[in-house]
Amino acid sequence: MGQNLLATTTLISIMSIDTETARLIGLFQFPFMQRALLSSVVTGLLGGLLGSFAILRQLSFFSDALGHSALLGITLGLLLNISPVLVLLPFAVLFGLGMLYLLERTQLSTDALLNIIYSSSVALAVIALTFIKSYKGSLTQLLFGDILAVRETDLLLSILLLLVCAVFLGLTLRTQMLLTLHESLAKAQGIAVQTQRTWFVVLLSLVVALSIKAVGVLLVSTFIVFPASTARLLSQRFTGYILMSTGLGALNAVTGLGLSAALNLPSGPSIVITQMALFLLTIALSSLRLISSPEGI
Amino acid sequence: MFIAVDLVRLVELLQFPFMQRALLGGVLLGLLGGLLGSFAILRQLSFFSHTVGHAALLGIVLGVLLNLDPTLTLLPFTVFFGLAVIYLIAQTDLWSDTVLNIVFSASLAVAVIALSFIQGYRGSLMNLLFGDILAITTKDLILSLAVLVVSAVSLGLTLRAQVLLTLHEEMAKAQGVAVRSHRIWFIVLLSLAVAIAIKAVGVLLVNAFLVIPAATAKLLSQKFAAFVLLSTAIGALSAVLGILLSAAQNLASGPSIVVAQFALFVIAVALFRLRRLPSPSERGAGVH
Repeated sequence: MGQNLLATTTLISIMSIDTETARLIGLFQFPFMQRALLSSVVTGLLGGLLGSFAILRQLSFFSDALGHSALLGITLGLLLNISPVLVLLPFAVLFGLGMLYLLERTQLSTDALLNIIYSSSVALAVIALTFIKSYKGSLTQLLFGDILAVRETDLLLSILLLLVCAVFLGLTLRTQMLLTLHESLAKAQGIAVQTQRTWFVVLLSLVVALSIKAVGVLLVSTFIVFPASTARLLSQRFTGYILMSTGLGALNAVTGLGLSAALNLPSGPSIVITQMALFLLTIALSSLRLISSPEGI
Repeated sequence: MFIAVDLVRLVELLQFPFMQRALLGGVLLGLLGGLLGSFAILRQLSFFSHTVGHAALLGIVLGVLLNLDPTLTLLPFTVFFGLAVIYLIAQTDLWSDTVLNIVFSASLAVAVIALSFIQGYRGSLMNLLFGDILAITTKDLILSLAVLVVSAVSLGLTLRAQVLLTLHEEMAKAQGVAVRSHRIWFIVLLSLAVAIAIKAVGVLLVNAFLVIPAATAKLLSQKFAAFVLLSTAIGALSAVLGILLSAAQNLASGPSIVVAQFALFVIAVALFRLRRLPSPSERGAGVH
């Protein structure tokens, strides 16, 4: 019955979509659109890959707070007249390491500290931005992203980072799994927990920094959280879960970009809507028991 | 000399009714945020209020779409949203931080897309995001005062239960405290406070009102009652300082208040570290 319904709705929509498709194909002839497409794939892969570990290590809000704070990094770049990407990368890494350091030093809880840091960063950034006359208009772009503005340098950096992450996580997969699922066992087996954790936070910070251009500071954590949460509902084994999360990340980003191009909607929110739709669909399917629930993870 | 000129301008500004309303509103919201925040950060609800704050954008957009007064839509929206989130967290087997993250980003994305359809509203997205305390009306003031009084009375009357619930939940249960209903009531108050503060500081910074004064007070106080009172006072103080800063330097009001809060927090961290550095005599005293 579900398939029948699907077939009918598809039939109805195909007719009106025909001209839309032509327009879409036309759009994808443009280099900026191809760059955006490639960039969304790479960003999606990166977010899905890192996210699969990050949500299990409860770093969802770390990436969110980092994303919000990155507004300050971008603003600094604008003030110093340096390309925002170049400021953003070291800023994000410093932020990540600084947070790790602060968390060990104060008696405040992680969540309170993250909230303090991101609120203050956003406040300072907004005040600083009011002094930059020419930039006031595009604060919305910083907040919600513009994947169409991705340049070749950004793209190359993302691909490079994807390679580094894949190689690093691939080579240390057993360690990472143990660290994620059973930290005390990892310690007992002589794994340098502290070092591994620091490396992971550095990579995660870089991924967040590079994804900001596509979805903006406010929604960047969705790249980390959504694909991994969806994959978690769908997969049983850890490696299957990582691969699925990575794949879903790319799929969501491409679908979202297509949606944004077809309906002329802002790209960042469109990608998030796509991610949400797939997540909700998965929840619905898994609660109907059409797919098995995850017992393995 | 510059400061003198600024002072004169500041005094002139304070003659205006909108400025007086802003100051009064800032004090009320500061008190409210400090009071509820002191419990919220200990119950690890910082990211809950962050989520409700961000999602409130969707509530405002709904209000605009339905052509209703945004404040009136926002109050029921945040309360309903807050309770729904708590219910969702209990229902799914994902971590609460993941659920909160999913919920707030989805609401934010839907809100931004919906806003792009509302012609003529795009320009004031910045107002929604960062607030405008100068736009506070007398009605907002009365609402803030009402929520503040309700919060103070209900928390004050059940203070022992609240303290127990916050610091030692098992014990609270064992002593027959109605943990569930107390918690739900607190979530309602917190959601209301977020809704009310949004006009002044915007959806992105509203959480600072709850978290930063409370964290500052926590670094400075030893006893629970003192912590709550200090947090409340710091909330009001930082709001006043922020508004004065904003008026004197002609800066955006919401971010200025948060900067003032952050400055007080940094001072507290410095004091805390100075005091905590164990002097040799202290160490000796500890041993005996």
